[in-house]
Amino acid sequence: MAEPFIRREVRELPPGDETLQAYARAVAVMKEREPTDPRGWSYQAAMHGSTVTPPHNLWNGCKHASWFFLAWHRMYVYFFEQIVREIVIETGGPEDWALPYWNYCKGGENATLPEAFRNPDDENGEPNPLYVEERENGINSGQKKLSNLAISPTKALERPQFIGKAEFGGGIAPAQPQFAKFTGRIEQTPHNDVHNELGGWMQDPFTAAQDPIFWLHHTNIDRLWVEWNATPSHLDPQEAQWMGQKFEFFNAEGQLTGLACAQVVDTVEDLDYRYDPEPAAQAAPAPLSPPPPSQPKVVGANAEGVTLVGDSTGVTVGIDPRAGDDVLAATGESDPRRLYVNIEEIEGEVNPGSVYAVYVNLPADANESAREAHYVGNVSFFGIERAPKPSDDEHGHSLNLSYEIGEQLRKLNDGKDWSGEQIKLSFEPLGLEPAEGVSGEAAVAELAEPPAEPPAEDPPVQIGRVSLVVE
Amino acid sequence: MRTALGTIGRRPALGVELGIAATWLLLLAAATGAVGAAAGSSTGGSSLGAGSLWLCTFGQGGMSGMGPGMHEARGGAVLAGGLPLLSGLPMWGLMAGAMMLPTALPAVRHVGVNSLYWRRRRAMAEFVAVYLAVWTGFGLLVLGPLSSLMPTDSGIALAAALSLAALWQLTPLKRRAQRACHRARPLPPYGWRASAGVARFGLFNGGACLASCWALMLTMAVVSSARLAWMAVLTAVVLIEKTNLKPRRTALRIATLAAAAAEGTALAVLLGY
Repeated sequence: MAEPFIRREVRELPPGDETLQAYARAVAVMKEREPTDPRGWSYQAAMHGSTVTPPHNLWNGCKHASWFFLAWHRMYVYFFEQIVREIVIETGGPEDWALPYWNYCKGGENATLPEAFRNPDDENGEPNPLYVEERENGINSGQKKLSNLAISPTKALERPQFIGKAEFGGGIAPAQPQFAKFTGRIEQTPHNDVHNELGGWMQDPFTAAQDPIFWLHHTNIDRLWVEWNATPSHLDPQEAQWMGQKFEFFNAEGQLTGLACAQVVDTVEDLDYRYDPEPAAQAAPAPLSPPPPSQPKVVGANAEGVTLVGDSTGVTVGIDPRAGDDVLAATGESDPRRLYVNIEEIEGEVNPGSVYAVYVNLPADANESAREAHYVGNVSFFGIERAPKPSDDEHGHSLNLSYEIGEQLRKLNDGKDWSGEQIKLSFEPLGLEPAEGVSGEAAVAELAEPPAEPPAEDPPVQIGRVSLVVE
Repeated sequence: MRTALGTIGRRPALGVELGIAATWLLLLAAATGAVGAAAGSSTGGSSLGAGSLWLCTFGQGGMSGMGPGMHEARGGAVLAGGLPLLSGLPMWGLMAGAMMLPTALPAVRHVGVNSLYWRRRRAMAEFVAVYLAVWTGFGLLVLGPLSSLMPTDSGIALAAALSLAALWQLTPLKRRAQRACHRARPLPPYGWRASAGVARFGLFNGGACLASCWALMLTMAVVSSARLAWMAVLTAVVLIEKTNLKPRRTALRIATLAAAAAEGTALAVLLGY
């Protein structure tokens, strides 16, 4: 068998490598194609999402907030890569061309936008096809980097299951429409958070795929799926409803084709590509058995909704006295039940672009290591404006997030941080951080030009309810 | 006992499901029993008696199969099909429960699962009461003021209602209502706020359901024969529309079906059947 195509980290391409130049040429060719050509740039982007009406075949197909997120995007990127590779070969590029990935998860300089995407013009003074103006300014200039908590896949990679509202791959998309769809951990962080922090087109699922960096973001997310799979106990869904679910795309010849989820679980065997370096198993905690099938039991919720406008906000969730024992038991090490905090009915007219870190029972004077112990995960709102009004023929829904916090509360309880009568969730906005080596200059620039007015509030996002659920 | 509790745990809306089944059985019994009752007396005093009368033409042929008493009763606050307002309203409520409540079961379960455990049954009962109140309110309109606007010829009335239903399926308002049918509202956990939250969701969901399906339901107000069969067919249609994962495509197909049925009915009227 021939060597599979190799997707390499964008900053670790070998010297003299032409991957990015070839990608830029191919992007330019695709942008020249007719909007009705399925192998054209705008058509491919519209397959993820588009505001243009009427939609063409396979437009607005992206699968978010469900267990199909990873598989659909793996297929989407795979067929896009085939279209690009054909152009790369036609334009004299390497025949083994493959999309690179942007591993911002490493932090530091890696959390800044790769240089090839920053410059409006290429080395010949021609417009750079990889550059788009519609990004956050500091990101586009390389002055700012993605925030550390937004790029960290650790919480997601630790999840023992693929399926579940608080698990790696997301909640089951039901055969029939339901009232709540739950975003998987990897989809939320880093996927949604990075979309948000890059800003501009990347902040909206209907424009995101027009930005050439979209595809390197998604190869990285795809790589993280491979990395999660590298732990032997981390298994993809075996349910026929997932395995048999087929999605359609266009191949390099512009012909309609399709794959089922079961046909994309092994990138080498099924799709003939691998990542370099080969993702290694993480030191994951001992695998947990799936929770016993049961109806969730709500044991507490806040009485009124919460509005987030960009500031730190706290929410107290009272625990029903009748269920206090259940909650304490569910945080026990040997109890098979799990304790979840659900952030429900998240709605907003506009995605404010903010990413919030969520902490449980965070003391006001917590130091860095205490903050880490209280850190639950992130919340951001990629797709918030589209979820209730999808342009594809599907039912609308609101955004919902869920985090398992039983083990965390048990550990905190050992330290006497938790009374068991209520929990408090803190939402703290993250922000882009100064890139390495520019923090001093940025600080000076900020001092030199103080803002005339205090920063405006974010467009509001409403959280309908925060609940505690034993399951 | 443990098994029973487990079953309830897995099927939080079991009581409502059984209630729907009982309603259908009651309507079926009313329809079949009414044949004999109608032969003896066409002016049943009780609401169930009126309902029996209303359903009595089930399985008895076409639109011309209405009993003579029904034609005579028409006028004022009386339906084209022949139901006086006061006696018709309970039957309308039963019909709404049988036809529309099955489509609201996901919402009922949502309320149950997302309420505090000890409050589940009460919350579901509150939701069902508000949801049915919305449809009963529509029934008041249909049996009252709107009845005078109905065409006097039952065939023409049916063709008009089906045409209206087909047209409504195509409107942006229908699309918006379909979307709203699948949206939830936050449910506060305790006290009056919990009841108010459930009522708000019941109004929102019932209102969206009404906005989506009122035109199809109007058909039931003008159907003059085989009512139970019409109920079964329309229930299936609404269920399919609400649960299908391609709502727009399904709505268009139903519009086509309704338009074809309207055309067929109009043709039957023209040909004198």
